[in-house]
Amino acid sequence: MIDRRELDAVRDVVHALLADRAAGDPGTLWAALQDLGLVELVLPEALGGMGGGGAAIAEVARVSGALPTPVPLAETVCLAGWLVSLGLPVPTAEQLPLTACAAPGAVRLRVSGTGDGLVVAGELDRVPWVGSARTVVVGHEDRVLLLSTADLKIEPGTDVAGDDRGGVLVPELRLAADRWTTLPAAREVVHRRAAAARVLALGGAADRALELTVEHCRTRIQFGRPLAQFQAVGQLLARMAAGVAVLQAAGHLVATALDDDEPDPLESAVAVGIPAATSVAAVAHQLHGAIGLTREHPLHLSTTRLTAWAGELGPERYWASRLGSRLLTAPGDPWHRLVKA
Amino acid sequence: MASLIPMPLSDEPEPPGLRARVRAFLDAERVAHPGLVGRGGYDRAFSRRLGAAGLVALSVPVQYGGPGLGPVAQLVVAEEMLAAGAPVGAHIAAERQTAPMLLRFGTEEQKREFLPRIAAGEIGFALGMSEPDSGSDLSSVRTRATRVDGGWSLSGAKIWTSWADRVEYAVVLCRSSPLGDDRHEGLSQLVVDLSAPGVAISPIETLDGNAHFSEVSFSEVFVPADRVLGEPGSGWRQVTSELAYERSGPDRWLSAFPVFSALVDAAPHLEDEALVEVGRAAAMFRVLHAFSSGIAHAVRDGDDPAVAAAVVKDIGTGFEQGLVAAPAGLLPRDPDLPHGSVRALRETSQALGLVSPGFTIRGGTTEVLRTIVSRGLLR
Repeated sequence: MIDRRELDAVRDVVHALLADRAAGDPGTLWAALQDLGLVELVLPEALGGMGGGGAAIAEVARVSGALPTPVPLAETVCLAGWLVSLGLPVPTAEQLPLTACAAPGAVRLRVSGTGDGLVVAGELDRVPWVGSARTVVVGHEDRVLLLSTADLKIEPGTDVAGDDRGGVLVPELRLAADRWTTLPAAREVVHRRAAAARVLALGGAADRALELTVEHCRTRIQFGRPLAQFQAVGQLLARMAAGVAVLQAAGHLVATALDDDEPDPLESAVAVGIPAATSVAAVAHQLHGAIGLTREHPLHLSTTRLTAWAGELGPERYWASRLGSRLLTAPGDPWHRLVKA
Repeated sequence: MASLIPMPLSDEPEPPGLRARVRAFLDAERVAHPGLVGRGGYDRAFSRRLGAAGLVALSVPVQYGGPGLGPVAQLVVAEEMLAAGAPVGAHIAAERQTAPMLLRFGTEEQKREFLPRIAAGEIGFALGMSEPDSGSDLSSVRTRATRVDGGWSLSGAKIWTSWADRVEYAVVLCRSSPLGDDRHEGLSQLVVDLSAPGVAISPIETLDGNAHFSEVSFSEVFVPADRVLGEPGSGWRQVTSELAYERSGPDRWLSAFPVFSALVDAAPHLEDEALVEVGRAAAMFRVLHAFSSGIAHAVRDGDDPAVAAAVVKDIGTGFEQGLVAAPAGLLPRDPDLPHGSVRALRETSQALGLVSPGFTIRGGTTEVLRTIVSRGLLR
């Protein structure tokens, strides 16, 4: 296990690297990230990894959202160690980075055959950074499938933040035995992990938006004083802070639930994260005024991601109704259904 | 890149077996005293039984007669009590605020005198902060303590003091030296025996027909010198850290739990939107539990998370008001309330609707909290 201080160090190193290279070529950036040993960080100790688990994943994924990162870093750390825990081989450097769809309904596949004869075909929508990913992790019914991007036909596309969200056409594709495994409710489990990765990244984007907004309120002078001195501004800043705090708690729920794939805390994190991200972006823009709407100002790098990712994860009611149905079908006192003794 | 809003969040598991023990206690109470758990309010005998089971003021160390299990264990018990609607009025304020304040600022003699009785559920404390002319502007209090032979003479009035007509003591914030340039100086907290001569208590009836608040007036009440909490003159610093206990606990997000329970019961008889509301609330309860737990850990480790506590109260009370209001949009038209659980949901949410405007006022108005948060951000 690694301790808090080591995690802080990991976070700072990844942040520095992203700040330096995020604007450059995705392939070069990924190579540098891989050199940092981020995959080893999340692999189990038994396989030569550091066994960083949920806490380490959360730190890295969060930082990836604070800066415009053009590779599926959050997805890779959320999925790599977990795939190995399912009995799949440790991914080689050529199979990384990994990505997976966070949007509900984005995966439409037909799978036929069994064993070595497994044949996959279909379509995937809005696959995060599929252009720089090497493997797309897909859940289909009770199977987890690993699709090599080299075998896929990619339709380039972007989201409103300008991030790569290409569509994928899966031709009739035969999967080798080491490229899939069975897992109950694999479709939901993979989708939930991909969504959890994005909630962690949303936390980073919200942190950055708050940082920029606080700085703007300190330095922007109107009516002869800094914006920060107006009570109306202070009230809005505090509302924004509440959204950032909710995303921190959501990240915490993810960090503690990822290792055991617990559906309730993971889906709770997504359900609260979507409206929090939307509200943080809205207040950030309101407090920046007109300058925040320009391409010249860095605010859009955070707010367009907050908006795009919240939209990609949504609708929020999808996640809330999943939580609600599970809670309503559980037996016993409502409080006991919520908090286990 | 550390976060600007330092929300403490903790990975530590809660004390093993404690929740199950508390639930077993509550189950036994339901059998032995039907109708008691669930109605909330004040019940000294219940508090004594809970104290005898070692489940009151769990952060009080063994040497002062407490269970010595720390603030995290105390949070677990408080959550279970509030969610069950247990009648905790006789001890909850002492457990949540007075005991940790005594531990932090009290003299050895004060700790020995009060802590064992708090942990036994034998005595309760009222919190003398607001006054008729000092609500959000707490440092403007005019209740005044003047030095007399052997102690202080206290005069003035406190208002919105919960259960002051029933509990034994109050911790009173007062001005103990004349108002100078810094209004935060010269304030003290006194532990006042509410049965002392010169104390007059008048309950205040609120919208829901209850009268758990009182106005308490002090007319030259003698308070012995050894009943000053902490240092004379450092009352402001003390009371602001006390408010962190008041703002971060489950009292700030479990007051509306009866509406959630009623919604869970009624949801199968309502449109799908009810199920979505149940899910939303379940998600927020998990978030708020994570916050309260993180703050309890921070307090245990000696931190003073005042800004984080203000954030938690803002989020928690806003969520609770939304939960109370939600059923109004989910209920069918009046003549179409076929199922008892649906009628119960309507009644529960309407009854709590008479209380819920207070959620964002008591313990610090939302506007004051947001001022604290924005100052924290801009510091």
